Amino acid sequence: MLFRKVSFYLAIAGVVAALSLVHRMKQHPPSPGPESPPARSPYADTVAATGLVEAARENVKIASPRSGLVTRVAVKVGDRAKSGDLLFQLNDREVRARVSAMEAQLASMEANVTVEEVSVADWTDQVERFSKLERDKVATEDELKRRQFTLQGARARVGASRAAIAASRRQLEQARTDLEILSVRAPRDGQLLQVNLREGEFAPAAAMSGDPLMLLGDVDHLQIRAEVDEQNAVLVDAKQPAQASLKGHADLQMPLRFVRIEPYVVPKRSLTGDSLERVDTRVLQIVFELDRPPFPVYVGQQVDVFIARIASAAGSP
Amino acid sequence: MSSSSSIPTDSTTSKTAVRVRDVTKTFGTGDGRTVALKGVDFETREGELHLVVGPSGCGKTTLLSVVAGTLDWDAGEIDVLGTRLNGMKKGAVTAFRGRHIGFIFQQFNLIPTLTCVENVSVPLLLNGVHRRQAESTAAELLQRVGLGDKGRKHPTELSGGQQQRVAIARALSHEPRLIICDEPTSALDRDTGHHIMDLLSTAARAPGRCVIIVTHDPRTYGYADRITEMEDGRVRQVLDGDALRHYVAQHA
Amino acid sequence: MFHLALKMLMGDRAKYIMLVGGLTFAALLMTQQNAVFQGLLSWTTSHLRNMRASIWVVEAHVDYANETKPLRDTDVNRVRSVKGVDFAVPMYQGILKAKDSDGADKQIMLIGLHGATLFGRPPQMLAGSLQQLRLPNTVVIDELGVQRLTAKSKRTIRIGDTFEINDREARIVGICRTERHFFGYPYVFSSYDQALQYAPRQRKMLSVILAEPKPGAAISDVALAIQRETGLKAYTSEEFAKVTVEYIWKNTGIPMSFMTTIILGFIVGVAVSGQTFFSFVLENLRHLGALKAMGASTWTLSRMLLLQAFTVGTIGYGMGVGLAALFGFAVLPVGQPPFLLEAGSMIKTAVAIVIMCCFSALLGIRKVARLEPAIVFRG
Repeated sequence: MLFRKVSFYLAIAGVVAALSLVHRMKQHPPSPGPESPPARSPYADTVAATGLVEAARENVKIASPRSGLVTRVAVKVGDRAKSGDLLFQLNDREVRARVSAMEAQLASMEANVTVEEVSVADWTDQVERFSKLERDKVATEDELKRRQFTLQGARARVGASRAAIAASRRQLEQARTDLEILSVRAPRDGQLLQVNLREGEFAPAAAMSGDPLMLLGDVDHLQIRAEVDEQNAVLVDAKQPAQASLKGHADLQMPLRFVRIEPYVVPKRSLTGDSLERVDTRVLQIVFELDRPPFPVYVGQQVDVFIARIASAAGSP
Repeated sequence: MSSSSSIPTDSTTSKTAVRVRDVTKTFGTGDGRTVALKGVDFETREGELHLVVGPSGCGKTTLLSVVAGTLDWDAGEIDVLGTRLNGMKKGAVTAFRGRHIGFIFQQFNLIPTLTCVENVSVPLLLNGVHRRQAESTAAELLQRVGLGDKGRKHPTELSGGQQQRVAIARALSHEPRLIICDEPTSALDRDTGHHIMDLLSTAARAPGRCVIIVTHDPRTYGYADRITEMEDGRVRQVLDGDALRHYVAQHA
Repeated sequence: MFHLALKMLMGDRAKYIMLVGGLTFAALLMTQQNAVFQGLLSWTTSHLRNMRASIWVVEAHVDYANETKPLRDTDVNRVRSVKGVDFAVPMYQGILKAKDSDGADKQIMLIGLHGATLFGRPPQMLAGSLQQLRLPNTVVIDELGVQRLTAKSKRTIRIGDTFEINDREARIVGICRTERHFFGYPYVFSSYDQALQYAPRQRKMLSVILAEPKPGAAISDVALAIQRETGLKAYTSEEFAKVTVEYIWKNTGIPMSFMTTIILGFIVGVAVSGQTFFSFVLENLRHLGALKAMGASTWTLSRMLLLQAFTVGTIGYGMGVGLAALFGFAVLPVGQPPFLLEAGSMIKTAVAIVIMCCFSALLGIRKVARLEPAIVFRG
């Protein structure tokens, strides 16, 4: 009966082996879960959006008023500029030469006037003396009259010279204005976000399609432009609280205050870094303001945005 | 050699154990039809060792099968141990057989994969006796047939005579009142055959028991209390007393 | 009586070995084929185990896990807006062409994981670091990928090596373990943004949004809510596996061919075990007849036969599933052929074996019921 025992134990061993294999095959390694915390909504009912950090007032794209060679760039990226600070200088040698020529001409004209005024004074004195002599009949009337006409002529010449000087002064002022225009100054306080200009380059005056020469923004006051799929647009209410977190850093959260809903639904900007736009979605843009958080935030950074939603509005779109 | 077609009456003290009246049995139909029993009367009394003899095909085995309740018959009445087999359900017949009849076969029919003790315990187990009780009874019986030391052996390890002794122990194990033997000695040599017949005649003497043996081995005739000789599906003669002794002497 | 039935059965060693052997073979064939089939089916849903997420949001007409119909970028935010969603991230999946350093073309399954969270990342890293996927032009490949992307003429590819995906450089920063894909493509993981660089430009690129429900929310409820609010199809991981398997059942011939083998195994098992058991009964017919003569009822004998049949059935079953399990243990580290042994397969085999045993026993019982005990009287 040995065989009977062997077969019996073999059968038991077989079932045990099969069951242990079944058990082993049921074991799957547990779900590894997210590697870093994902963006989660702080609200029970929410509208999720993707947003972009912007400066609170729209950024100023600095352009050049004249086409010309850049002789000096007065600022670096990241510099803070006060209103009126020089940003960059275009080539002004020609205008400056024109100004000096005009100044010299004006000086010579003023010297001329002085000569003519001396001449008027001389003839005024002679007319007074010959009036006495004519009264005393020492001189003829004719002599007096000739001197009187000469005086009038001298006076008229002074007047003409003065008018010419005034005209020259205007011209000089205009030339100085031209000079001033070639120095591009900050239109308002702000930080230079971009400087795409180097000394020696030619700055075109035409309206630009590509990058601006310089980008001046107010980075002390940031705002976030959140984009909501147009299909979820009906779920968005004005004045609802919202919260943003930096893309990839869901723990870095920033409370947001509602500013406005852009009234025009725009095509979605593709943020994949690809220059080709694939437009098949239009998005509603909502602008929120935020205080500068304790961690660094940069203009242009992507954020995940969750906007609270009134519970009653939670229904099928 | 007086022939007698009537039942002998010299054993009035003992009760009738088996009574067969005018039983017929036919096998097959049409051309293959054979009549095995043509109106057989047969009677056995308690305490008797009754031999049924006759040439091959005379119907003696059929008679035995019918008496044992292992074969249906066509007509006639059969009473075994006071029970009328006519009209009994098959299951009841089987239970009756299991309880009251012991069997001994020509080829022993021991189950080769079981030990002797286990073989002997089968009828007890079939009667619902607990395994341990059955096996100890079986061991005792083996002792009685002189095979006390062979209990753990398998039948194939024993000689023919030993096997038949095991079969006798099996047939006796549940103390049946009727023991039916089919050619118990024909597969055995002379001495062994006598030994077996000794055992069977001893068994037949137990109170309330009888043994029916179908045989054509003349060596066994001397053990008989009565012989029924059959021929061609009929009882030719029933012998006892002097007629029997004469018959035995004639065939010895 | 029944212990004697067992002894009668096992005493005949040759018959016993035949009987047990036949049933063992049948049980082995059915269990093993079923396991290979289940394994193959499981490969169709390997996505769901390699990128583990509770909810898979896909385009409304996606029918199974390996189908890609792209979504729009903003759909991520729409899913995030659904109540009960804890978080949701985008994932790219696509079959792309890669080139090993010999320049030979290989197909790969590129998976783009959300760069910040790497959610859906493979559970088991064998070497390197998944975090480095955030560096440009980096990928993590699986073991099959190591095998496939190794150039014929060079040493085995390893961390730091590069290959090309769609003519762009990909630097290996990690090797992970994945379950094999049905089509046999190696998995290559990159960040989502990186995947978009590798993948051919299309109008829509987002393949799947993986989402998790808020703690306490039922996954299926959240999936339904996503479906209702976005009009996209949101499957729980289990559902997605189910519909994928159903799709394979309906649309491929694979299940049919396996079913044929399994049914053949069953038929062979029935035939062999039935035939052997019947001949066992025939051989023992004399003894059974003797038992019947000695008063064993047909009912008793039937129960004995059933016990015998079920004993060989049980032992054959045990040895059969044991051998199938051995096969499983042997092929599991290799990963080929597919093999998935489930409790269900074992139960199915058990049922088949029970049917075989009943059939065999019935053949015997029919014989025994018709047996005239008188036969034992004929020498």
